Amino acid sequence: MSAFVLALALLAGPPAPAPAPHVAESGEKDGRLHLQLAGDVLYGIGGQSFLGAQLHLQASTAIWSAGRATGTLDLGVQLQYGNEPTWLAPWLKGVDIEGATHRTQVVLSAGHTFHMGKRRRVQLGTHVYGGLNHWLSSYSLVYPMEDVSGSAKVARSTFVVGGELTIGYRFSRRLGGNLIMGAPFPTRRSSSYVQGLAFVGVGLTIHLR
Amino acid sequence: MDRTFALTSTLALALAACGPEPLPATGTLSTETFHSDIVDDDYVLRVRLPPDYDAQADVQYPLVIQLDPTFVGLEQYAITVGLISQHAAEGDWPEAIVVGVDYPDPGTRERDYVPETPADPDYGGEGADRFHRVLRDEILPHVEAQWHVDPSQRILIGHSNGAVFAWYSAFRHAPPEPPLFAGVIAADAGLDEVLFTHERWHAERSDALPIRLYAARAVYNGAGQKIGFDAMIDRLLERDYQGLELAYDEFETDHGGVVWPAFEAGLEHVLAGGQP
Repeated sequence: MSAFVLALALLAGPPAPAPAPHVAESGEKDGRLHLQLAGDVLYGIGGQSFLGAQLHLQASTAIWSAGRATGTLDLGVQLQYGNEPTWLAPWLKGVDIEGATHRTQVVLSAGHTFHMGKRRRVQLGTHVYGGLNHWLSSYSLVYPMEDVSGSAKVARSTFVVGGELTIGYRFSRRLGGNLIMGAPFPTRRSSSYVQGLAFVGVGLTIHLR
Repeated sequence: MDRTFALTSTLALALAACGPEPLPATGTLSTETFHSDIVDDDYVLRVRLPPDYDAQADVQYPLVIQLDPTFVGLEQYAITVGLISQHAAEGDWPEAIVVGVDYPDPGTRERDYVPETPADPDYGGEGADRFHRVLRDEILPHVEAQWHVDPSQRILIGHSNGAVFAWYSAFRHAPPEPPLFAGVIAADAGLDEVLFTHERWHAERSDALPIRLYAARAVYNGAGQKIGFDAMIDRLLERDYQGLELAYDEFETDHGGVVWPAFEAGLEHVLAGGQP
């Protein structure tokens, strides 16, 4: 019996390697759909400085290829959260204020990425995004000498559109690192306090498919 | 909290670039350097005289003192001059002389506008205490000696830390003297505890505040500023000061965006409404 199985295995040949979860290193336009998930920690400016995090799930497919570069069309969904704590506002030192400003964005993204180099490990992506921005300002304040105290929340949900630049490097088959810079597009109806002014981030990219 | 606005003024600059152009100015615009012996420093006075000023020698005009005339590109002086030019031409508001109290370096405002903490009950400190003396004892006498000003119709208008000083100035009223400014416009101040102290000191010496006062805030500054603003408005309403004509607004914008709508609504309150 074991001899029979061995014979079958020899007839079938070696197992085919699983397709790479990234654009083809050979540079060919393979027509496959790739998926990647990027997670970043963020620093940015809104009403004041904020710290945050971002998850970006992106699908890509190669649309052109040249000697040392392949270009992909990318579509994705992005979740971003930013928090403006009082300790990042040193001018509030000495003021008895507690709370934070929170900014949450759920957006769709679209754009193009250059995958460059002999093995296509270096990425340079430019994307636009648009979606929902929820801004929540929540603080409490005490002026003990004047018997003034209170707490309040102010929230607004608005539409946000912006642009993002990503620089990445794929360390291995599945794992890469990235730097991002982004900013909402200013309009007459938008406010940097609500939608944010700009952000930068650093993180890891997992190549899923 | 007011320092928040000092620092976010940098952001306001970017926002100002997105804002509409000030309305065209009418009348005569000039600039002069004024030396203050009190601070031993120079101020730059930006002066707008109404059209036909020279032909109206017997007319005494309201005087609008504009703080932060050119700070971080917000063009507050140009906005105020444009608004008065347009509304006066349309007959909505009386004509007025506008004097922007500027600096060779507009950032010098930080020296002048903020009340010292702790506050000096004798008002002998630096900061806002001293700048109040500069206005009262030097700049206003100089301006009123040169131009036809109705001293009972002085108006002070400020934004951000300029609005902090405007609030402070309102609470400096000390009867039986008339208020230094009959109209006060405070747009988007951060209301620190020290301003509540100055208000309380005023309440302890008088139950009258014969001022036409307009206050505004930008909603997007968030909840921290809202608490102080609401508390101050509530306190003034509870005091029920004799002679106080108070109006206030919240605008769906941010620190830079509130300048124009707050100035227009404030000038409407203090100019079009007449004297309290």
